[in-house]
Amino acid sequence: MIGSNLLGGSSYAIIQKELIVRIRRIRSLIIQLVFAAVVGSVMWIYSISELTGSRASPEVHAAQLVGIYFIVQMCAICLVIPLLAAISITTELQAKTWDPLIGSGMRPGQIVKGKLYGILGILFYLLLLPAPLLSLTTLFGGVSVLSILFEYLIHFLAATLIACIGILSSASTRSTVRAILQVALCAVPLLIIAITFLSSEVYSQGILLLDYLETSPIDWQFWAWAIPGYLFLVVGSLMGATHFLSGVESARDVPIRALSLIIFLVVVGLILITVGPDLQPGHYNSMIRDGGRVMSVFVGLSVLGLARFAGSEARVPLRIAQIRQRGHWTSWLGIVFFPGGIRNFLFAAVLWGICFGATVGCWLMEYSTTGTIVPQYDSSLYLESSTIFFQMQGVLFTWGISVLATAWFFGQCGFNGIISAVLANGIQVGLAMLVATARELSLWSEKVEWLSPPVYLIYRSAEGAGAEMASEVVLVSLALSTLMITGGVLIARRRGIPVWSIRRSGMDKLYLKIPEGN
Amino acid sequence: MNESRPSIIEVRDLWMSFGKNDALAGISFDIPRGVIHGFIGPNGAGKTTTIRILAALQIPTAGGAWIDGANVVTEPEEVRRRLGYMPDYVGVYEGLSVMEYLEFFAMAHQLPASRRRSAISDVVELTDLGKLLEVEVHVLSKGMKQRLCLAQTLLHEPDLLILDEPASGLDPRARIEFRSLLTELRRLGKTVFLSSHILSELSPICDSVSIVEKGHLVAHGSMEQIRNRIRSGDVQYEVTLVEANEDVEAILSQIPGVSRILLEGRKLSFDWSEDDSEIHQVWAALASRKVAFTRVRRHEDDLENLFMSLTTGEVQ
Repeated sequence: MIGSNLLGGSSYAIIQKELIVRIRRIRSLIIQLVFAAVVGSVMWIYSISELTGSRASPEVHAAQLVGIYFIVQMCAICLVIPLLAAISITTELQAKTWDPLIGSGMRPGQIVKGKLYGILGILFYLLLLPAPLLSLTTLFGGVSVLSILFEYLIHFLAATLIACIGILSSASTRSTVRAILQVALCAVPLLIIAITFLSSEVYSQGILLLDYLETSPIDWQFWAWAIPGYLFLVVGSLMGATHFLSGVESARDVPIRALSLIIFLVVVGLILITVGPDLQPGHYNSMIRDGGRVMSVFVGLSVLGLARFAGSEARVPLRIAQIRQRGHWTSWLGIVFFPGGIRNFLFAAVLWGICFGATVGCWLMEYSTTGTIVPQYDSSLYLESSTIFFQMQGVLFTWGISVLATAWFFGQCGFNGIISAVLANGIQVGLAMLVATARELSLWSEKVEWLSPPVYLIYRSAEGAGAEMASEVVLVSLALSTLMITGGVLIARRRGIPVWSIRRSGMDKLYLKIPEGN
Repeated sequence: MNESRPSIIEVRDLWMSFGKNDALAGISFDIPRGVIHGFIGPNGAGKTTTIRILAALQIPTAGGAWIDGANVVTEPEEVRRRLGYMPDYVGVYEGLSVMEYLEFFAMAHQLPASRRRSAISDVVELTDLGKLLEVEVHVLSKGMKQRLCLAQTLLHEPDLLILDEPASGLDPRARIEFRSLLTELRRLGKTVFLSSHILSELSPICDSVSIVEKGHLVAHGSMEQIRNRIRSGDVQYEVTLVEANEDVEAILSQIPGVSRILLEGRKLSFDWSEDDSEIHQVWAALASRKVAFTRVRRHEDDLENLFMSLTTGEVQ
């Protein structure tokens, strides 16, 4: 009952079913026995050999014994978990039990959640099954319980990650073989890296992971990137799996967009923390130099992905229209993330703008401290280089907006998000090649460079930071943006698709019009 | 349950296109409450597509469908609460017992823990699965699996059951048992909407039928309405006389509405073109001439004949 309340009735049902179906079988019992026997044998052989031949201290023996135990455990995890995760969704589809599940009112998200908890339940059982073997370490004086619990935690986190990726593969490929191959491609390199690192750097020293972290502390920047990265992979995989299992008419884009916003904020924050404003005396303009450059590269690349959002399907998904029609409070709260119409472009532009906002904010922080901390500094030179910096940022920003507007235009024409993004970026690649070729062959005037702002910026940077930026480049990007948005609105009107309002035509009567020609 | 609505299923101009192929081309019909309705058609006619749309598992290209007033497109959760859906293939979980299978779906339907046991015992009693509760699902016969699947669809006490080819693959005994189960459900006030291509199975239990072909509804209504629609105008009667009588032909030929009189020994047959309520004239004429007869049989058009009359056999 408590579990049911915590996990939600439907997810709890899936967990219960998964555990019964997986553990009750005879072959499951055989796997458990073989697993325990392998772990036990390896540890026993090592214990005997160490007791008879080695001159190392008992504490080192104990730690190495635990190390061997966990290496065998990790191999088992990388065999069992990918398999269980890869078949998690495909078995439901192949056994034709998916329709009754959905028909019972379960949502894809609940099923994915239940599947993950079911796999983790089996993993928990498998990890603890041979735990009594750790008592062998008492032959050598024993190992700290805290160190063992930490090892278990790391294994559990690694297995959770593999399970999430496996469920994503299962949901996206809908084929057991392909899903197993995909997860194996992720799990095997992870296993090789982990075993190599643990055996050569940790266990061979006669210490466990917790001791290793205490003796060789890792920089905080590593954790600042690793923890959000891990959470992104876990949460993103589960949301991706739900996304693949929900129909295109579902509200699946809303959590994806919310997660994307969080990711953008975290990544921009991490970049700024790592290479951002340096307020130390003598380090007055890092945003104009290194930090700004890193951020420029990030925003330059992010537009490729953001075009996917801008060019999404123009129609409002049915589920979103249903939520909006009911006037639920979440329909106001989540309006920023609702796909369809002009919101596709605006959402991408907001993410795009976050990067520039952060960069400008950091520059202002630097500027407000530089004058007092470094009075001898020539502020006119600083202002001049800052002007160039802002001109570059302006060129980059307006160019990005024009790419997003182009992707949005293609979305209104009826292309899906990926095709629209490819077309919008393809046009930019084509223009860049055209400009670069024209410049190399000296075929056209310099004004041709305005067609491709990124190429223009690269050439200007090569010429020196003091080069004046042509305002026409910004104007060309703004003109292209205006043209694309106007064209998109006209096409949307022609196709009967609302640009701003969150509705679907005919919802009050019939669902859609009868197809023409019938 | 929305008792104020006379129809539990309302379908209007339902279209479903897969590329250039229209699986459904604008079908419309209503199904009243408390009936067993047969949805029949050849393979590829659009039966399963219609059923999946009604079960809110597929979104139509156009048109609308309502289950007890809930729109299958705009209110899918409400629709799923109001109906029980049994697909054409019964998928089961290897390793679960019958009891565990039902408990799983009771939780999936989000029945409160206090109601689960009673709901399961009710459906087990109805479907006669009581002796199999501890048996693993995958060892059940096909007929028992069908019963189990039906039990699962009844757990949340829906007013409407939508069954896709429930009798396919069942042996004759299982079919008869399943048929009586459906009749019992009708007695309990449930509406049953079932598709099948085994027409002889539907004839005895269906109150009404819809016949679809190539995505079009070619007939819809009660069995009687459909018979009347395709009837050529004449009904054939067969009469078994007590003894052969050559005068019978002359007697009947004087009655308006009688034609194609055929006498073979004691077997008399004739076509009747007038309303059935006027047939008493024939019996009165025979009685007045002291022509005794032991048996009268009115030739009914069974569902198979109706189906053959209404469909062309073309596949999309």
